[in-house]
Amino acid sequence: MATTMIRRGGNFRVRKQAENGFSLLEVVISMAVLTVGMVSLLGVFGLAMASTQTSQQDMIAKQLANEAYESIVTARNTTQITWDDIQNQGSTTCTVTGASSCGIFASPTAPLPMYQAVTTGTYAGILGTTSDVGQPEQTLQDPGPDGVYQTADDILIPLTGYQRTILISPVYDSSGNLVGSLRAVTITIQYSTSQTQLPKSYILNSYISEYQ
Amino acid sequence: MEMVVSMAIGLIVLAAAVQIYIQGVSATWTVAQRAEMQQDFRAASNILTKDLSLAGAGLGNGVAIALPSGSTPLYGCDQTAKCYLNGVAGTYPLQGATPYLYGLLPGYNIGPILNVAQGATDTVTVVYTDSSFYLNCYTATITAKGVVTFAPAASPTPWPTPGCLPTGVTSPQAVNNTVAGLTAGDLVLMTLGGNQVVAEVTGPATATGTNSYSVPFANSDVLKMNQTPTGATSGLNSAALNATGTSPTRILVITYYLDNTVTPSRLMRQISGHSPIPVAENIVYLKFSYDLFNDSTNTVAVNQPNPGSGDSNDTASTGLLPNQITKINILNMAIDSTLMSSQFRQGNGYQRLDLQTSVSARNLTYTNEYPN
Repeated sequence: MATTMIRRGGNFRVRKQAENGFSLLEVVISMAVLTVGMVSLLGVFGLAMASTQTSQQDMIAKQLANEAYESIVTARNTTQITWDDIQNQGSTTCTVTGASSCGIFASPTAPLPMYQAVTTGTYAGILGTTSDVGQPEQTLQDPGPDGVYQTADDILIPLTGYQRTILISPVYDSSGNLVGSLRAVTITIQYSTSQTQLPKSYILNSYISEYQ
Repeated sequence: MEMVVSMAIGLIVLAAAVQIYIQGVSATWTVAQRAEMQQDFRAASNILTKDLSLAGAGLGNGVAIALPSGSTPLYGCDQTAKCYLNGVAGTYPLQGATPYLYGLLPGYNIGPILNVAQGATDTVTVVYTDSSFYLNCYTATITAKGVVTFAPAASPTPWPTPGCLPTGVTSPQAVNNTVAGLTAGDLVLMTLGGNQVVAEVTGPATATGTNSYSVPFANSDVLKMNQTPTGATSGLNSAALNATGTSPTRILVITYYLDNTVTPSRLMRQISGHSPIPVAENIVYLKFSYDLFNDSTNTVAVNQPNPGSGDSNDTASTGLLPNQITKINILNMAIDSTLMSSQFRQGNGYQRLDLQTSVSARNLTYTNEYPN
């Protein structure tokens, strides 16, 4: 509280001046505003942490896409599967056999769950073929709370949040002629992150040649 | 009264600010952990998958090379005779009594045990030719017991072009080049007198003339490749004097294993007879399985952890050989963080990443380069 000493007629008298500070009400209101601001800031923190958490799912998506591409390469290397069949089901570009329809990989019109590859038959071990539909989903092995693999608390996490699309398309040269020995491969892994619930995609674009 | 209220409010504000600061530091710590793990993960996965995809490259049709059988040829050891696969050497798969070098050598349960409950870890060894060293421009000749001379072919001169050199390169590196040339511990694949041999360099190469180099392949090499087995027809030192051959190549026998003699444990990459180098830290588990193609039955054996062994998990691949592997499945490559943050209440104070993916053995399963 500010005071002024005034001398008048040899006597001193203390006079109160108008108060210039904040009232309690003002302080409470400003605190409320500050609290709202801080809560917003915490929200941003949460978002930043969520982004950090999703980076692991991003890496998983990348590995899944690579895995699917390697599977196509393996299929190409196997003599059991012809070059005509290294396409999506229903392809009409069957230059080797002259068939009206060829291709072993599931249709790219809709993403499919992360089905495991079949373990027997011609398409054994190859991901994304028409034979995979209805198989159990792929899983990730987690060591569980003890952090040790091959123990009772291991968890097999199904990749339910992920979906895969394999698109194999013909390639044309600059004159519009079909390049029969080369095909474009686009693998899309769609996933939604548990933290943000935002759908995300990892897209792998590559080519595959008829020749090893 | 106002003083007390304002102090109380001030303390509340201060406490909130401190909480936000702690959260900020904790988040920074978590991000640092994750960044560290992801860097380790990328380093490990990039180099491992690249090497796996190159398995067998340049080794030719079939990718199966007979090795000397007098003493057991080894891998996973350096020039000090120290061996690294859980402290011992790896041995090559046998066909009958003869060890064979393949483009890929599974190492089921021969790695160290980092956790008893978890069990033994795996190793994996890939073999491919070193395409960056143009040793194939030289002709190899046995000029003395345990000595091979590398020199340009008499014709065409000075170097056979085209063929051994890429466009724009006029001559191969010198064999005694300290960076790119042959050094002790290197393995060289040569065809001498019609026999394919793998031999280990045991000392420095010396120049003996223009573009001519003498390289020692002594009998007592660490990897037991240069031996003269009694009655054996394979092995460098069983080849006749003056036996000669073209297109020698340096091959890289690269083994990945976990080293738990240091903390934190590391993924190591060891090449031929050289000392290993670390690839990534904090790798705590490493397991593989393999898909193989059975030529006889035209069937695929999937997820075989110890292919060809006939174990209960490998019955589908009984009798199959490593050069029938079509796909390598990395079942687990677990990476932990060593940056503990329990003081900031981050769960158990550690994070983990797991690599689980597959790599096609595109250079291993030779079928037909120009299929119909």
